[in-house]
Amino acid sequence: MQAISLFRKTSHQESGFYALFLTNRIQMLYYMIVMPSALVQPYMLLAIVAMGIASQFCLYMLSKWFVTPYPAQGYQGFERLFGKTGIKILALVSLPLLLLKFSFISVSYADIMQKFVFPSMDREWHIVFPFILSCYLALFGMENMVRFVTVVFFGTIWIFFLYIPFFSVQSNSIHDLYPLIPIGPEPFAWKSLLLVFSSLSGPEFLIAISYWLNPQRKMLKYLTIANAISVGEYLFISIASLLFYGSKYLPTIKYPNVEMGRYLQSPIFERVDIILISAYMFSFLYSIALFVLMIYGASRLLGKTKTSTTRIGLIVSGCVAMAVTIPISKWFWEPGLEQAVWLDLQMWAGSATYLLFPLLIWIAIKRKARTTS
Amino acid sequence: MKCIFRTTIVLLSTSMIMLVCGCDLLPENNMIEEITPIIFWSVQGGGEEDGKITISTLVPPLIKEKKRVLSLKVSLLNEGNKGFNLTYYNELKAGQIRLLFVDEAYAKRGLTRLINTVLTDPNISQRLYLVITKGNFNEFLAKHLGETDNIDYYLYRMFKHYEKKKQGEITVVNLHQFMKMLYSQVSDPQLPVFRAEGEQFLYEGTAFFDRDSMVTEIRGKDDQIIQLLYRDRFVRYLVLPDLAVTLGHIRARTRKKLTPDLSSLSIEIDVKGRIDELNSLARIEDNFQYAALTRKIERYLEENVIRLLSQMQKLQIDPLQIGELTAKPFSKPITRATWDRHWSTMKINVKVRLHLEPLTKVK
Repeated sequence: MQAISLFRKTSHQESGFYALFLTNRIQMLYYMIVMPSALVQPYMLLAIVAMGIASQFCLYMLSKWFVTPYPAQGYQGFERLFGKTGIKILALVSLPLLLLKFSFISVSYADIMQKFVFPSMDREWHIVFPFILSCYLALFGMENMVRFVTVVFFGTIWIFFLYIPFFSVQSNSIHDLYPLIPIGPEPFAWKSLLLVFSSLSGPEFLIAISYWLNPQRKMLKYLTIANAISVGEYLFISIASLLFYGSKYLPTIKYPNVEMGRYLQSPIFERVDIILISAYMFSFLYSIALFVLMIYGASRLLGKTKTSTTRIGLIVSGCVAMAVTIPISKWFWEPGLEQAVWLDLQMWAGSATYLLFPLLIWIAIKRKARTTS
Repeated sequence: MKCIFRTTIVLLSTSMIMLVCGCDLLPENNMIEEITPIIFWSVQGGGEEDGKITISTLVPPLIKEKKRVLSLKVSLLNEGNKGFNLTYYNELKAGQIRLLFVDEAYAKRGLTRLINTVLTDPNISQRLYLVITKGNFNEFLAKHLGETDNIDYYLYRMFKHYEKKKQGEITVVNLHQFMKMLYSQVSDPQLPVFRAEGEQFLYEGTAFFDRDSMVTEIRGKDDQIIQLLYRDRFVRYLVLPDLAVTLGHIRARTRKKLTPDLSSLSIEIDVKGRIDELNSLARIEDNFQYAALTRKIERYLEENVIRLLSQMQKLQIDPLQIGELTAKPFSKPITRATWDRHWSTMKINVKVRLHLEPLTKVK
């Protein structure tokens, strides 16, 4: 049997498109989950734009990292920047964050799956089956995974076009999008701003896989395009659902964009929403696989890095993530209170990492530049 | 040794997963020969002191078999669904349900409870047509039990037909539209009204709601005139017996405008169409007479629109969604109470402009 190496790198071709697709897909991961609780008021459209600009600022810091010579050196690059202990601390900090993200998206997706596709099936199955598929994907190794994002991107971007018919529904009127500024009877929710910011988070994980992205000088351009596409998609879907439901009816619906898919009619399929959820699964599976690989990588950094990677190691670290996720789904995912706590936790964690990781790395680069010169 | 270790891990994790998730994957049986996907529910009653409703449906749908009306007296809607399963040999599935007929008396007491039950069922689509019925609907069903008489399916096709191209022939409202109108800040919903009479099911007009309970209905000619007031509707025939005229192929474009202080409303309706029928064709000899007739029809439509709108004002209902015009990009949305106060005293100006195609080919 050929020795496998999950984290090897063979190609050195420069391309920013992988980073573009990755950034966009990771940012779009939340739109089905976050929509219901945050983006229900018309003024949130402006909030999406504002948070898009804030996210652009984070991406700017991130692009500073890509122009340095460190990412191309892989592990050695990080070692030169942070030292051996620094890396261990970073891995230790990011491991629970990765586990949280992993659990949150798997359980949320399983929830959607259970609600719309198989209402009588246990939710845990919807966590286990995608996980097995993701493990299969992850076994191809990091380099193949990074390349695979192209397929994922083109396999899911079309979902966006499904929402075009909602702009021409008869009961629509432009008045559903008013007022554009927060002067309604409800107080302005600052938390929802943070929620939008956290749903745009995710690109900070590119730092960990920057070695395979073959970074180059023009990274900012690709990251900006990705961010703009994400903001555009969020805006488009929010406007469609506001027009379709109106701002009073929208908050009462848990998964508006799936319900909208349900409303679509097709001469062939009765349930367009099932196709939609399955397509959404594509990008979901991909990110789960990516996170499993990252969890494995981070736990290797904590232990011995010199030994070669094994399949069993990857599966075991995936199973550890499962061991965290399934109890959450089984005992700590009561609708209402507990789900709100998880959403809050994810919101704070996502926003914090998106802001702090690029900042940290930017400061580290600055410090290094000062000490060497 | 290593191989045994691996197999143990795989087996152990598989059994752990099975243990955690339970073994029954899909506890629902959807064998097609053993289920009956019904097309409609009909709800009546609710007026008696025990608050019981009668729920009925027609089985089996779309196969060449003698039909049966299932009917139960229950206090909860889903008690009826369960009851149906116990009285019929197949399991009834609500996944294909397309129509919900509600008796007028029930609708007058408020639809919220019924609608909420239907909405929370994940199997039921938002494209469920809501219909108000008068007369004895069960008796009507009892006359359509033949093997090839798929009355439930054909009723569904009728609604679907008129919904598709936004025709103003009959009012068609589905669950989603009803809910959107119900939830809108200041406006009220509307539903079509049908009368069951012996073998027939006749379109009567449109029911207007105050929040969730039906308050009034308009019929015949009034219903046709109201259709013109919606955004961009097509009306096949507008029969005006008072003027002995039928207008045909009408496309109406309506602009509604509220003054900022909500003291008056102006409605401009541009009606394009042609005269399809005229009792006194002989008397139209020149363009002056033609223009005079046009003028007459315009006046007539204006008067009727104002009459219908003032009827709505009296009842403080807003089925035409005029209240949504109060939403502005940079100002606070108004409350229902404020809107009702302004709406009931609002001055209404209506301007109808008729663009009729010239009469040709007539003697």
